[in-house]
Amino acid sequence: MTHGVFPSCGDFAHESRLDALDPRCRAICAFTCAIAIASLRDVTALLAASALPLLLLCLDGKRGLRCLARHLLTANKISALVVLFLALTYPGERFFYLFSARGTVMALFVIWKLNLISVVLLRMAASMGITRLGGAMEGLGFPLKLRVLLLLTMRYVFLLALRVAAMSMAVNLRMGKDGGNRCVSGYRAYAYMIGTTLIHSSDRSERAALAIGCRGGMSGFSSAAQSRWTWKESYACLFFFIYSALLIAISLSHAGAAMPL
Amino acid sequence: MHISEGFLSPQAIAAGWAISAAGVAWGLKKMDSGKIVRVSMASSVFFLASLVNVRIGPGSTHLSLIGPIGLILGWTAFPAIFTALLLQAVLFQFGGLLVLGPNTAVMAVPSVMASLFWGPAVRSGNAKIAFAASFLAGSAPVLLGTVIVGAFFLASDRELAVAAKTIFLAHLPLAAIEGTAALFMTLFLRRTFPDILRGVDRT
Repeated sequence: MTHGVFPSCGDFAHESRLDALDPRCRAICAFTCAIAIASLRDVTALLAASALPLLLLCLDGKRGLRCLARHLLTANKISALVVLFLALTYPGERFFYLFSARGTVMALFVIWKLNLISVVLLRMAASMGITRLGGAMEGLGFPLKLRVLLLLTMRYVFLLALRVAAMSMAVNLRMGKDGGNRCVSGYRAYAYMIGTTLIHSSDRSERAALAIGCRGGMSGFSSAAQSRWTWKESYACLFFFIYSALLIAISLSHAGAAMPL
Repeated sequence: MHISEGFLSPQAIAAGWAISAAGVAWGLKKMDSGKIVRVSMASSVFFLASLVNVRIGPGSTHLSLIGPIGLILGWTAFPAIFTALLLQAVLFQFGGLLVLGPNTAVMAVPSVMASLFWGPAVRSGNAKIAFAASFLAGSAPVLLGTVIVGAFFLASDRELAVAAKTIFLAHLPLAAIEGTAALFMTLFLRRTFPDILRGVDRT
């Protein structure tokens, strides 16, 4: 349905062995570990931190790995420009007259951290999918309005995707390949397309709000899934806390060799 | 405009989350239960619009449209941008979950600023003022966003000052394009459905 707007393999949600754990536990463990990795400032600590993402990589099948690889590629592509700026603009000695030696080392360090954090968060949190993530947010005490907003936004993204795809295709067809003032007319067509979609969605939202009101309002958005916190979840949290504390301890013990980031 | 995982120190991440939490809480307070559907619709339109490729010369880019989203949503842009970025992080790994707080601050603060500073001028009866304000409401938030990105970088490492300046300069052409797109969009909305520009939190 969303072909043409969403990149392939858009939703990272998939079956995983980690599904045995409560979503709240997965979210807490993922963020604890990610914060610990973000605080690391030396190579030894990062080597130690690589163990858990490698273990998580081994947990799921080929489909999960393929999807993860695509997501990691996207994350690396998005950060490529800033990483390049880092290598070019960081103070210190230069090689090939352009690249800062310290900046390049730091850029590699940042890429390493980026991939480790991404693997942990994708495997532990993003693989739950939005619905279970919403359930985790409910269990962790996030406001009801925010959870409803998240679920409705998710729903309308998929609902409006086809329309936006069709309109952007129509805009591209009408613009053609040639034309002296293609850029400005392109921006105008693009702006009108979004404006039109906004007006239609505004009308539609009035009716949707009435329908939701008829169905019991926001009380209808409570999660039907029962959350269950057992000893398994407690052990998992304990393991992640100890692992994160160990990483920070290793990093602090090598404070002399620390990188700025 | 997205800050990726691994660039920021835990202090900068904490600061970003604190700003976002305050903004999202205030935005949710300003958002009636009956307006949630409208905010989510607008949020999803901008989410989708930011995935569409827009040509720049031989290349192409995705526009952020943070200025227009602010004009339409007002303070409720904070929770709307938070949820849109959460979806982007989970679905496409744009940005990331740990830096969701800083990324929300980078985009939502300029968005709300656009609504507060340029909103009244965009809605004014004077066409020339509305014309100029519409352009500025699109371009200024992009530049303010890069300034905030720079502030987060400097909070992580002071020696990233040159990188922060370079990012700002690299976004100047994009700011001009965002301004042009925002100009056409607001002029279109002024003609067809001016009420939408009053902001969800004010209607």
